[in-house]
Amino acid sequence: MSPLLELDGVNAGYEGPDVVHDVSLTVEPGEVVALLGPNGAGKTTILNAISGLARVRAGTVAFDGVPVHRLPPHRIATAGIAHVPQGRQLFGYSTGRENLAIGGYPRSDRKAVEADVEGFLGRWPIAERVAAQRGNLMSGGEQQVVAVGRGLMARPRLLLLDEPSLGLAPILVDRLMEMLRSVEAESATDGLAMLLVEQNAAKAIELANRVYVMVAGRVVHHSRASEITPAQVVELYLGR
Amino acid sequence: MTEFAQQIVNGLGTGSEYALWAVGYGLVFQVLGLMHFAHGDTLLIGLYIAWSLLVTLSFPIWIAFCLVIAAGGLLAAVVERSVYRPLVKRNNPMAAFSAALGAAYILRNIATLGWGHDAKIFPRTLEGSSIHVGGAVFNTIPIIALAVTLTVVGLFTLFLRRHRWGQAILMVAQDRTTAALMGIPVYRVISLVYVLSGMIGMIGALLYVGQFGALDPLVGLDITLKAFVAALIGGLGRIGGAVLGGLLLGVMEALVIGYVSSLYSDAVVFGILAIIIVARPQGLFGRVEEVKL
Repeated sequence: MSPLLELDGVNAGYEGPDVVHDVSLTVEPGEVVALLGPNGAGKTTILNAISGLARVRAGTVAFDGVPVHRLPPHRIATAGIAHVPQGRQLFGYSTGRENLAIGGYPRSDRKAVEADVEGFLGRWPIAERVAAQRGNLMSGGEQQVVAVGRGLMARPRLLLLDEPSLGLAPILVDRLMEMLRSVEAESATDGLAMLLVEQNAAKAIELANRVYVMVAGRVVHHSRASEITPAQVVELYLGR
Repeated sequence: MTEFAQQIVNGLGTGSEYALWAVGYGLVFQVLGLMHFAHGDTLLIGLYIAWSLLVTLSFPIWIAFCLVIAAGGLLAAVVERSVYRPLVKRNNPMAAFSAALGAAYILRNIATLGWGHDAKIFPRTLEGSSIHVGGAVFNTIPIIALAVTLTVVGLFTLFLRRHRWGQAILMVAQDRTTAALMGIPVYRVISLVYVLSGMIGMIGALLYVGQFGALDPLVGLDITLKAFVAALIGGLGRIGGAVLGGLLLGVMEALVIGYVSSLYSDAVVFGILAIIIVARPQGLFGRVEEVKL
């Protein structure tokens, strides 16, 4: 059986030279995989290559055994990959509720999307508080919760999370991680997988089943999460 | 006072047509941040097609109008695909701006080649009657134009708020990259924006020539300028602003024509525009933060 997501020898970048080189990684159904690395390691580019925002110049990206690296971003989203981008990127002039609802755009069952939106708001008071508030008027923590919720509204099979804790106060990071743990627990039966890019190695290792470490555009380590400590991750960043 | 009221009503009628042009023009700006300088000349081709259908081929008026409104959308989509899209994809707004001007000239030349330089007499498709209110007599044509405009804009606003594709337009206007990540087919949405812009503008153009009965190759330039001015007055990228800007422009013109001279109407209108741009660059009804959604 093929993995849910498989990157094989991927070189990818934007307009200029490649940012990541010969990256191979897999994500199995229901699994949380952390992608760690210092600034500029190419973690975001990997997520962008998966969701079609970066150009894959060599290698393949397969989702459920089907190559997707030549598809435009909207087709990849429709295939079942939701991307929660760095900086949240909420639609600033739309309300929290509208932001959540548009996350369900790939689905045709609008009534069910509306029910999911209301369910999410009922479940997470921090989101309910900003349901009628415009995205650009929310705090960073509120934006992040809504952004993750927006990603879930598509009922994806793979959720890409790019630095969800970036810029958040420690207490909000804890709440966010609690939310991700609960999403993981609830969706285990559905097989929702997560690929989490994070600079907060300790939090990511705590949440993940497996860990990849990238430095300077290449994967330099891969193991089960239980086999590596945050200190060892930092050692890898420093090339020791 | 009676004459003043009549001028206001006449101005609201013409302003309704300006409002429809400005809504289409502003919609393209809202979504792409581009000045759609080929807007009027795209509609010009549609108007000549309407003239041919009505005068040369003697089509029934409603069939001709439906065909031409559809043609307005189609022509706008062709302009988008052939002129704007290649440049937008290269993220080159200045080139897109120049290309829009070029496209306007090409369309105008196509109209001249196809239908000649001379002004055509457009059938008076809007036949009004008179209504008496107090001591004043009002023509019903401006009232019909205003009613049509408010209906079209109301339906369009409802579409944007309620329909899945309407929501997609609003999201693409805010952030194209994130919209694509939500599964929204961004370029298809952009094509839809041009189609809607062409169709809404075409309704305004048909009301305009149906009311004034004359069509020549410079009508397209007039439409573009009026749409641009109305959208700027109202606040670029805001539908309500475009409607109010169009109505205000129409009323200002009518008052200048009624009390000064038709010779100076454009000079006065553009003078007022210059003052508004200096005093409120975001337009009379725009907010600074929402000029570009």
